[in-house]
Amino acid sequence: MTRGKVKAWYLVHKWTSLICTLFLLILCVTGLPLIFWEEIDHATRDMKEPAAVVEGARPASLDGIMASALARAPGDVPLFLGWDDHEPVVYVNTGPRPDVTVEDMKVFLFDAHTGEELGRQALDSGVMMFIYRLHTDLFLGLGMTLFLGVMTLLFAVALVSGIVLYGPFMRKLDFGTVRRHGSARLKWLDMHNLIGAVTLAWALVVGLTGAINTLARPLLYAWQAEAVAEFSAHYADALRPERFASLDATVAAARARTPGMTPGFVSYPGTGYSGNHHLGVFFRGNTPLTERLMKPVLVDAATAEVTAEPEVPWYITTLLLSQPLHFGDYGGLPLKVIWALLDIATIIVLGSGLYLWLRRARGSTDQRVSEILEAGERARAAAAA
Amino acid sequence: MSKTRMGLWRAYRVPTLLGVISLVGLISALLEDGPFDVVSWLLLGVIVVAMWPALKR
Repeated sequence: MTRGKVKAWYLVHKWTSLICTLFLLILCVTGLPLIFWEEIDHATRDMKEPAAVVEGARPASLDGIMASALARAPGDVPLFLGWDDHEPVVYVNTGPRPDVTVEDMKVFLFDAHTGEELGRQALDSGVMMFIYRLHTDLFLGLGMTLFLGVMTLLFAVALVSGIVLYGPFMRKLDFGTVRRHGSARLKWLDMHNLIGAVTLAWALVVGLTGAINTLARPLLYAWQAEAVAEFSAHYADALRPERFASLDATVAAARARTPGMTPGFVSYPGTGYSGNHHLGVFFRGNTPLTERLMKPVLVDAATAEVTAEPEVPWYITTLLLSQPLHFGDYGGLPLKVIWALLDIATIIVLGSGLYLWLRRARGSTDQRVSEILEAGERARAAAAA
Repeated sequence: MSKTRMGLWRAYRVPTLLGVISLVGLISALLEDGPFDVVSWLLLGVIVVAMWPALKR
């Protein structure tokens, strides 16, 4: 690689890193507890444990569960009913209107087999929700979420430019070289390069999937605007039913169309997922990959007859597939621990990069380029001396 | 192979191998539970261990 190209890549690495480092540090630090959200939530939540499931136990009536929830929230309408991924727990969301925001929803948790109420959940409070908001938008809304997505893309560019510079820097050094006998800056430069090169693929995957996730809300809005609106147009004259068909019959009818899949949640008319006249039953697969994907079945809310099985657009599928690779929650607790260690390693790479810039010797960009191109010779000269 | 290319290959061969190990580890647990999870833990565990030269005093 010519000196000119090394200089160009050095400048790309320097400026992309400097612009994104502070935001990436916030994302990595706040992301650390979020890796263990499920465990922390389980340990701190105010909820009764579901009863042990005996062989052959039948699920409780969904109509019964919904009636219990509505009896606890007089005046509310049903919004969603869903099944927990890992526990025999069913949650019910209610609200004063079908189109309420998350802040105005109530969440009731029930034992999926006994139908007993286990507790209630606040959707917009608690320490984990505070950290989650810091991680996703710094409490500044969608604009900041999108800005963080751009910062994450800059991080990806910084990683790529870093690995391009790694070659000229390391071509005369052994992998894993950390020169501890020179200056502290030299030692941190070697550690920055080593940890950055080792964690590169993981950091790129988590970073890029994070950038995709920042588009979650706009993509969901786009889906609702296109697919759901198109479907709803066929039923523009049909009003939201006064009385809904049996929920058990609805889920059974939808389940008959999707063998081998598991129901994830049911959306009620007016919530933005299934038009104003239909219940949407959203199924998921049974492997770590397919359990993230959604297969909607739309059921007439008045008659419990299946009306349509719309295809989920590619951009929603991409979004859903990217989520486990960002969250690291698809391989049990050991994978989460590894995820946390790699997150800490990324914090070290970011911190050491900042340190290297702050402790840079006075000099021109050309001197930095010489430092990259002559690292091997300098190390050998130091070893010989 | 030229001297420069030899030098670059020398610099990139271990990071390339670690990159492949990372990607296989990331994808493995996505495919299935059970043994596929274990493969994922082992391969991504290699990535964590590969940082050891940077951390030892």
